[in-house]
Parts: sequence; structure tokens; C-alpha cells
Amino acid sequence: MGDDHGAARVLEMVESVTRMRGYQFSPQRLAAVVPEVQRLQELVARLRALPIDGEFPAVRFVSR
Amino acid sequence: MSKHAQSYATVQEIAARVTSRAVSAVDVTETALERIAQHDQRLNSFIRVVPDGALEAARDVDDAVRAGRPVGPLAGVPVALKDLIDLAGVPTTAGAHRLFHHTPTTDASVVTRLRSAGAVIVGKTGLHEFAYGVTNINPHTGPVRNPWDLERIPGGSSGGSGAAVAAGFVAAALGTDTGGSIRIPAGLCGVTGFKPTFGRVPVDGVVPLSWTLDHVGPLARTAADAAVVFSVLAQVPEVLAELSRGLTGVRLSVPEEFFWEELDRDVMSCCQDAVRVLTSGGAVRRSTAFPHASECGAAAAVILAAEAAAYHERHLREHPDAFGDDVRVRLDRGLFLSAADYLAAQRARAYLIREATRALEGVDILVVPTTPAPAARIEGDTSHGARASLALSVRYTRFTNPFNLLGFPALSIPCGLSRDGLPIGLQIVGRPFDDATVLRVGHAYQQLTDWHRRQPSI
Repeated sequence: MGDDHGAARVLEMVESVTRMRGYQFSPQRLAAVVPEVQRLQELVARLRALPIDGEFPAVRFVSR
Repeated sequence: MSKHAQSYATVQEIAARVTSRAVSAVDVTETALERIAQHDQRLNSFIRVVPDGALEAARDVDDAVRAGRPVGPLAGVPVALKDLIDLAGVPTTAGAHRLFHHTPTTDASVVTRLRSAGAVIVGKTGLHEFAYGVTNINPHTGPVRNPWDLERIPGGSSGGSGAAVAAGFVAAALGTDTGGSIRIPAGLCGVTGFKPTFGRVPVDGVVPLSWTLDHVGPLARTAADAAVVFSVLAQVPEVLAELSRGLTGVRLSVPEEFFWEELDRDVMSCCQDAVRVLTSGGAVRRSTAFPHASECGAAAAVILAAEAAAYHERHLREHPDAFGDDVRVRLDRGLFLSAADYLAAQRARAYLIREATRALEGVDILVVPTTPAPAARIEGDTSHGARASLALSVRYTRFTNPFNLLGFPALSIPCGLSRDGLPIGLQIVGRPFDDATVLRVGHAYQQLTDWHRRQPSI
């Protein structure tokens, strides 16, 4: 994802979600969150590249 | 014993002296309260001190000792609680705006267990707002300062607990750890901090940050003290029998990829020295492969963002201006993750737990630094608002948040001082439910070194 293009897409997504869910975000609040949302999207893309197709999304810890 | 020596006595020493009537619990408590009153204005480690409740609890312990009733392994030991943990009748602030405070009518389970073991709760310690950050620079309470250098952060988010133990205010404190929030302040304040295996210590009565990643555990002066407190919190007294088994036969691995990269020079040097101490003391070095270690932090970040946003969503809608700038950005970002994004991170967690479990099949512990660098300055490194706070979180949780994702037990112990005189922490990580081996190795290291005995001048 190119930085400028990626940031523009993330801003579009963030604006769309805020409208849809009725969040009241000031321009400053919106500007502050976009780089962080973009960073999280990049992390999610890395996780999707792992071989997780067969994984169940919960882990139960059991004592030996 | 002088007041100074009493202030730096260990949990085990205090409990033994109170039980044998060498000192009263009231005397120990009064000494702790006096020291807090004298020095905490500069450190700001406590949000609230509860002298009346503490002295009443101390009198109860002394009455029990005089009557010959059993008093427990924490008899008369002054303990502080991170102010995210409910203490009946005392407001829980979570280090947040007063709109979000609540006054519980019952104790958290961990507090009930501490009290049953004879502990004297002296107060509630400062934290990063809602435990969501590592600096403890808090717009609602002011910054907690590091006792080793008042111009530096204590680490967080349990920074008040770390500073209070380092300053000799209490022998032990409870913290919570979602990405390193016990181990980071332990490392940066020169004390011992233990994050147990996920699920071993109850979290009811504790304000959540992430249901998948939250842990409660102790900060103390020594691994042996952390073990005593953990044995009470998890109700596993058998863990103490393992402590003195030494290092012989312990198989350790030093996973150099990822965990030993991007390190400050002094951190590298002190942690390498610590590994040499462990191997010369009888531990055997083995190699392991954990090829996707770097992805643990990615999965932890996504899960944390989504779960924290879910917990705080209503407050974000109704009172967005009541949050500090950095914490509001952290919470806001999670609102824009999809359910599929969140579940991808949870599936990655399952995959990474299996890979890490395989990595630990041939070894007993992993040894890695706690943080990549010693404590940052409050002014300068951290004073540039939300973006600086966010960047420091990424940097300081690099070696700790993988073990929140995995749920493995992890201990931070002091292993040296930087050239600036700042503490450096070493992390010892074990297999799930093998908390005893982690504490045993930490205790053995502290039998061979004296870094845990160093005290700041306050």
C-alpha cells in the first residue's frame, strides 16, 4: 500500500464508519486517528499472511 | 532494625518478624505511611493513601499474632494496589477523569486473597490513564516519576507500583499487565515484576483493558517475594517448594532474532552478562526456533485495540473530551477494525501459541531483555504529545507484549545499571503453568548477584 494512497483510503473508510455509526469526530480527532488506523491495517495484513486458514479463533489454557 | 532497613525489608523478612513479634504490624505500617508522607510528593506514586484502613488491618494482624491465630505468609506486609483494582469503599479511578471513577462495595478477589494472607493495604498507586500506555504521564493525576531519576518516566502502566516498591514505600504492590505493564516498570525502576500464566490469577474487580491479554501480578524486591505474593494470588502454595532448586539442569534459550535486536548498548551488555551468570551457575544453553516471534506484537496490538475500544465505546461517544489525547487516539483506532480483522488476530494468536509452545519443547526458559532501553526522559523524549506517547508504547512493549499474546509466564529482574545509573531489566519466560520454574530461575540469579539490592537515593 503506497503511503499517500493508503492514507487516503483509510481516511475514506474512517469517514464512512463515523457517518454510519454516528460517531462525532472533530477534524483534529479524525486527523490523529488516521495514521494509527493505517498502522493497524498494515499489521492485520501481516497477520493474514500467516498460515492461519485452519486455525480456530480461541485458545483455552489448561494446566498440565 | 533501622527505619531505612525496615523500609527496604523483603516480604519474607517482614512477615517473619511480625509473626515472631520482633516488630508489630502497626510499627511496620506506621513506618511505611511516614515514608510515603515524607517522600511521595516528589514521586507522585500514590493516587490515594488509606492510613485508617491500613492501621486497622495492622491492628487485626497484631491481635491475631498475640492470640496465636494463623496470620498467613503476608502478615503485616505493606502492599499497594494499582488504582485499577477494587478496594471496597475506596474510589477506583483507573487514572482517569472523575466521570469514570466508581466506588466498589466489595474487594477484587486478589485483594480478598491478600487480606486473608495478612497483607496491609496502604493505598492505590498511579498509572497511565486506563492502563493504556507506558509513560505514566497522566493528564488527570500528573506524572509518576522514576525514583532513580525524577526527570524520567517509571515505565507503565503500573508505574506507581514500580516506583513505590523502588522507593521503599511498600514491600510489594499489585500491577496489571496487558502489554508489559508489570514488567516494564519493574525493569525501569529496578525491581522484580511477575506476569503469571494467563488465567492463573483472577481479574474480577479489576477494570479491564483487554480480556484476552490482561493479567494481574506482583511487583516486589525479589523473585522470592514475587513468588510468595503470587502463591497467595493464585492460591498455589506449592510453587514455593520449587524456589530453591537452583539452576542445575535448567535448559535456557536466548532467542537472538527479534528479541535481541534494536537494543541500547548498555541493555545489550547487562543482559549478556546476566546470561553468562545463569550459565556459569549451572544452566545449560540450548537453541530454539521461533520464526514468527515478530508477529506476536502485531496480533497483540490488533486484539488490544479492538477489545479496549469495545470496552470504552460508550464513554468515547458520550465524553470524548474526558480522555487524554494519547489514550483517546489509542481507543479511537480500535473502532475502525472489522470483526474479520479481530478474528484474524485471534487466529494468528492460536497459530503463534502453537509455534511458541514448540519452541519451548526442548528448553525450560527463554531469556530476553525486558525493554530495549532504560527509562526515557519525561521532558524531551515524551513531551511531544500523543504521537510521542504512541511511539514509546511500540518501542517499550516490543519484548513484553509477545508474552501477553502467548499467555506464558514472564518475570523481569534487575540485571544492571546503565552508564547513567538507570536500572536495566532481564526477562525470564517459561512454559504455560510452569510459573514455578520462572520464579526459581529468577531467585537463583538473585542468589548470585546483588542488582536487586540496589536502592535509589530519594
